[in-house]
Amino acid sequence: MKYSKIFPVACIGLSLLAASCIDYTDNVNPNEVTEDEMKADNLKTGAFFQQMQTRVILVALGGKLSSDYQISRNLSHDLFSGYAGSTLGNLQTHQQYIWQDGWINSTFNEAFTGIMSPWKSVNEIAIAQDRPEIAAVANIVKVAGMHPVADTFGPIPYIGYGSTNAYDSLEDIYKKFFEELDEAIDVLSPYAAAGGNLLSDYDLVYGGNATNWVKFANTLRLRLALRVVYADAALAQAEANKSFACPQGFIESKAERAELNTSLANYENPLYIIDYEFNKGDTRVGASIVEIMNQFGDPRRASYFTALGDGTYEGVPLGITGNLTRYQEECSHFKLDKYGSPVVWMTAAESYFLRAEAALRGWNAGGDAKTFYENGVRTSCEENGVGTAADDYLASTATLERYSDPISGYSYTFKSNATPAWDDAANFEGKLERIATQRWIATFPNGAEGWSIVRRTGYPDLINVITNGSNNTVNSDLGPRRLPFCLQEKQNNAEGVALGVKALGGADNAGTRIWWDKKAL
Amino acid sequence: MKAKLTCLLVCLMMLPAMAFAASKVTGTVTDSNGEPLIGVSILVKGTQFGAQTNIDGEYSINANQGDVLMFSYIGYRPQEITFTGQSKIDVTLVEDTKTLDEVVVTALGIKKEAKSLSYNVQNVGTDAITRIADANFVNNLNGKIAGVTINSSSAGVGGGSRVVMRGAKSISGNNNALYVVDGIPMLDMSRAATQPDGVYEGAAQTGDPLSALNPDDIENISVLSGPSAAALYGSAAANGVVMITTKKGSEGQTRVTISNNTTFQRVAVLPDFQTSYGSSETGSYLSWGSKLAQKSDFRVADFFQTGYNVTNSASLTTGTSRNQTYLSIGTTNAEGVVHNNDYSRYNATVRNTTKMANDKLTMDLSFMLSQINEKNMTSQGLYYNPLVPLYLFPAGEDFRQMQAYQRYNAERGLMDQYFPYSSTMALQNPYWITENLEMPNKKNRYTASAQFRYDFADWINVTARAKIDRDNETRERKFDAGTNTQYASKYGYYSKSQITNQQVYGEILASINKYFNDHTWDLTANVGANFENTDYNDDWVGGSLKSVANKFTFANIDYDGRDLLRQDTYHLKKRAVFGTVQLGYRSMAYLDVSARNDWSSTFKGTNTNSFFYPSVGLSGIITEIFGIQSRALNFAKVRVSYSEVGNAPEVFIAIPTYEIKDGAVVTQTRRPNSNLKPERTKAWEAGINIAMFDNALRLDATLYTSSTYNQFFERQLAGSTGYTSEIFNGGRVDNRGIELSLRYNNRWGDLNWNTYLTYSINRNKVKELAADYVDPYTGEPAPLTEMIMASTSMYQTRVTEGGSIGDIYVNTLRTDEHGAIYVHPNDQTVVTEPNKFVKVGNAAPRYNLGWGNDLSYKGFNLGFLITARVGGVGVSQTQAVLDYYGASQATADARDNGGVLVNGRPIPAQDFYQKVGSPGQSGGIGSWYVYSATNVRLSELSFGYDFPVQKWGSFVKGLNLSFIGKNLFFFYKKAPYDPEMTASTGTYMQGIDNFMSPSLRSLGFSLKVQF
Repeated sequence: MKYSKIFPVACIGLSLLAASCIDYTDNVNPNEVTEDEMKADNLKTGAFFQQMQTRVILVALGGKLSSDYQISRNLSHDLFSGYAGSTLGNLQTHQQYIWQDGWINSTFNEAFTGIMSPWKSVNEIAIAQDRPEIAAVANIVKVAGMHPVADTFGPIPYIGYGSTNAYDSLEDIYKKFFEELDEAIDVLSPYAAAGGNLLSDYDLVYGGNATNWVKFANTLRLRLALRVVYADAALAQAEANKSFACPQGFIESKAERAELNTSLANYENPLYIIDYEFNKGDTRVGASIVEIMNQFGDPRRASYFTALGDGTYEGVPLGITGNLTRYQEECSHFKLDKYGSPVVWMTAAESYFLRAEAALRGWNAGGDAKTFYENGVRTSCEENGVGTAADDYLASTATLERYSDPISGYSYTFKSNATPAWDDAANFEGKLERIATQRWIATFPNGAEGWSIVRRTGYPDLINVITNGSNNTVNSDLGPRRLPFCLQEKQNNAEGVALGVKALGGADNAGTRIWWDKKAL
Repeated sequence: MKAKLTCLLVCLMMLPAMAFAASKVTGTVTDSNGEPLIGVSILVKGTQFGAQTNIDGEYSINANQGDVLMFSYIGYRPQEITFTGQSKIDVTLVEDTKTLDEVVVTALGIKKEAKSLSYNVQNVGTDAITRIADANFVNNLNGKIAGVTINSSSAGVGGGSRVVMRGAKSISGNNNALYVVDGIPMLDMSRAATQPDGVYEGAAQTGDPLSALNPDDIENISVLSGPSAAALYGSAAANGVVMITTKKGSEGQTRVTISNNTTFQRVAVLPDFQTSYGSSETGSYLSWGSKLAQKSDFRVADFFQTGYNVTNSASLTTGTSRNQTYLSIGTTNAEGVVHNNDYSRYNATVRNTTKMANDKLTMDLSFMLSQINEKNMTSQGLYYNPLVPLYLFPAGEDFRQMQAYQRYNAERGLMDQYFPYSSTMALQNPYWITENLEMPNKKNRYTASAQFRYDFADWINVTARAKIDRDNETRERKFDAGTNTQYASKYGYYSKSQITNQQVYGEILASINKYFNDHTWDLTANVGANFENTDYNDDWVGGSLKSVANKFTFANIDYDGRDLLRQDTYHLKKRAVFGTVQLGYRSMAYLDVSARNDWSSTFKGTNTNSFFYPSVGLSGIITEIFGIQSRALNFAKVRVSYSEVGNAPEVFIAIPTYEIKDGAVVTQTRRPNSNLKPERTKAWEAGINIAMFDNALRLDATLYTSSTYNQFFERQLAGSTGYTSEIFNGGRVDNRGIELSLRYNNRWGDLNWNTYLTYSINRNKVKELAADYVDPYTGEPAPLTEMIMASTSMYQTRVTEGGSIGDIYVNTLRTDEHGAIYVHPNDQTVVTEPNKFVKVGNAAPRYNLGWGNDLSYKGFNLGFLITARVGGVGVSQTQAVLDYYGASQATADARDNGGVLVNGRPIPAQDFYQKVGSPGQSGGIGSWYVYSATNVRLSELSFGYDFPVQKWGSFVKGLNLSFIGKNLFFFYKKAPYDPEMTASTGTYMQGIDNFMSPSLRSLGFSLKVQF
């Protein structure tokens, strides 16, 4: 049986052949970047640092789309801040306080996959390479990007990120923010003093300018300090004092303000896309911002909104139930360019308003509230190209009256006595209302920050929702105070979320007030 | 057996017929209709002397008295007649209807006797798939085989098919059957076949790899619905295999067959539209206006044209005993019912089989070429789908205005879209969509294969084969200036994708077939090894146009846009060694054992090097074992088999890399996992095959159970991990069911009746997902008991522990404590619960039935097939959108009746329907739109006549003309759409109609001429 010998020989031969000719590289995606390739140009640090920056306020870079901004921010923060109205086909959504799980998932996930995940890489490499200054700027961006998320949900898993999914209390998270900002400012101050540059090839905000990073971190610290003033006044003042003592000072000019620089990164403004290119426009400016600025005769309207045929401005209120086409056609757009309009994280005006409030509270802000307030308004007008109109505006004693929606007939009377003009005779709340209202106007269209201003201070009084579909979990006068924890977390991290609910100290719904939201309203 | 006869015949023809002192016998061989049979072989038993019948069925042979003459002809029962000195022996051969002795093609092209198999193999002849041409012939298997669920794609002519055998096994992976052509698995093109998974997409679909095949080249199809073939074809065969044997040349006279198959299609099922209420206001697409003075004369059906499908094919076979050639060309030209949905396919095949080296070496070479042009294949969806604006068109508006879909825009100096309506869905003029949104796909496919077989002796041979299968595709989208700005800039939109997909396959196989101990033992063994390399690349460029209107070229794409360039590439290398042994005892009992070891490049970077899987089967022929010889029970076999299949993960899961998007490297959102093990399927099947009453009645029954575990599936992770998903081993899905086919054949004089019944029932159960999962990074438990696999705003397909794959969940209206719909007492409105989803059923049928019949009488033949699908539900989002817009008949009825009756009380119609209905992308209450998917239909009907051309002359040898019809009507159907159609040929997004292209009714004729 001469042939019978063929089989064993053939079998062994074939087995050897079979196993030998597959390589490791056969399972490596040729269009993607390997760990090895990431070593060139310190790319792993640089690319991920850029990624974090493009997600603080999400823009369509690095694979993201403006629709990701739409569901993660525009359909929540931008609405609840009063800056935007929703003209999306489906009206039974967040604009009626009817919650969409997918959108809330997105609000949460975009931050964790877009900011926390790259931060972890950057931070680990910075530690491994002994580059604390890199870790410092990454931490500043992380705090800038994550505090809006913490402000949205309350507890989130932040402090032990990477090793645990347990939710931390918002109080602990804020203390961690302060710690991270304090440390970053300490590390970066010598670089700033020496006029140093960091990650200049990858920095889409300041092109590597260390001084500006310190100024931003310092102003951010003051923003967060005031945020917690009703929950822990001592902590607020202590952190504010550190900011006042910082030699680099605050962001004070348009050149220093924190924005995704359009000359460093070419990107579409997400609000432009949502307003102009999605369907007939899935969003328009909100009735609250338009009406308040209308009644104040605000000169910045021409920079914020497009005028209607008769030269007036009109916004979309929340909770509309119909007439979608009319709202789309008879309300103002966001006045933006597709590419030229930067996404601003923090305006220069904000630092004045922050100091105005600090001074009002009797803290050593280095000036008086009135001056800071008026400089804030002037700076904001300058940032918006209407600096010459500021003085007239600051003399205006217009107050907010009644709003009437020409499309649905809905009307609302503002509970407010504030004027654009400062009034030394006004009481503490009157002054705070002026500061908060002007800070809120200046912050447009940064919905996350705008919503936090309104929640913390109660100012300005926003137009109530027309239809409230929250099943009585949200008070129409107060508006949503947070978003419920997201479904994807509840499904996949039930234990972690349970800790969050406990730390929240209330029902997991949109009416529960978060830790710093303590003011009697 | 047939093969042996053919061999013998070959030998005979080589030898000059030598005459001894014998007498000459002549005669005519005819079939039971009296028609002469050409080429019947006649052999003197025990000698090598033989002859063949000529064109008139006549033969002559020399024989001695006492010699036994053996008459044999393929497809007929052989006959033996003892020569007793007659000068003329006329013989009538009877068609062989018993196929139990038939040889079936099993894995790797290995032919085995059907009776020896321990698993279920179902055979389908070429006639069943070509009689009524379908551009994708797989659709023609529906109802003809048991254990298979076939859903044709709604993407129109030439679209793919969803073919699931014995239930869906994989949670995240592919569940479609494997196609094997002449022993080699077909190119995997699933990567290129994008499937819609939400409400928007569904345009520019494309067919599956199989739809490139010319059905007329197919000799035979064997279906292995179980995983028993996996040892030979590898992991993909776990889902069952459709084995296709293509035609070869045959020796003898040159034969030419020409056929034409022409069918015309009309829309079979449309929703009911209202014609009595006008639009809400000028420019609105909502039809909630006042009652029209006169009913609208606009009919949605008028938009559709009569589609056609013309299939022509010509084949030639010729050859000598040593060299046979087969040539064929085929064309399919079709137009769908929507204008510009065009399809054309051109096929050419050449195949040559040659014997060399003293007939020890057989070489088989073939080359196939096909070219397909498809245009505007749309299976469903809100985007680029003309059906959306068509169905919703407000009654009372003038549709003729819409036909002037483009009008001159003097300001821009070009033809602009005419659509004087506003909507929230970015609707467009339906004619603009069909005429000015062009989505053409072009595919060129080349397949070359070579096979060499060397017969060392009559019981041992070695086969080597290689195949290269290459698919080149170009897919384009060209949207004209004037298109809604959601889809294009004011200048237009252009994208182009260039796909190349290549499979190189090589195999060497040694086979033994030997009898021992005087035919007591029969040993068949095969040992082999193969390799398969797949290289896939898709280069995609696309974006809105920058400055020149309607200039569709790369340089005109707006480079400021996002995501303009993409490349998708993968390489996959697989190696395997395998073996099978079959041991037969006295042709009454058989033992099958197989084993395979696989190496896959996708396990590189993990701890798994290779994986092994065995199978074993046993079959016993009861009638032989117990010596039963009865006309009532001709044959009975019992069989049982057990198979295991291992499966490798997809490419690039194990080794983490970072994506570059718009020039920026970004972090992964899928957490890398290098701890991957092979997925496993374990399956049992047991069955009986019985033939009774002179083989007139045959029953094949199979019971099966399978369990697929350690599945690779992608689970959602908590976002707080920094990732959104992870692929890991987990989960288990069980299937069990019954496959039954019953065939009956009888003849009463000239009337022959052949009927069959197929029955398939399957139960699917998700036994576990990952209830005990502990996150390996944080050590914290992250149990997973439910996943949402596809969804719209009102419909979800979920996989739940304890549920089944394909479970459908819908949201609901609020109900009171008695379960009745809650009506708000103040304003008489219903209250929606948009986020409260309840399970309403499963998209899969409870069981399927097929009843086929073929009647023939003196050359006339009548065939019809009735298929029934019982059980399962579907959701119609189409209906929900129609209701929201007030376009459906239901909304008109409600308005006529003063409201929708809920709990016996009328509720204002508009408020109600705008709550339960859906404005498109969002909203809607699914529970209001759940329909039973049960349906019974006349799937196929044919009536033909074989002209007795042979009586008229010898040039034409056969002529058949048939009238054919497909999907003719429903005996029973409750859903407002065809529940057997699917927008996605993937596992999920089943049981949902979201503006699917309507199901079609075909009528036509076929003509077949043989020369």
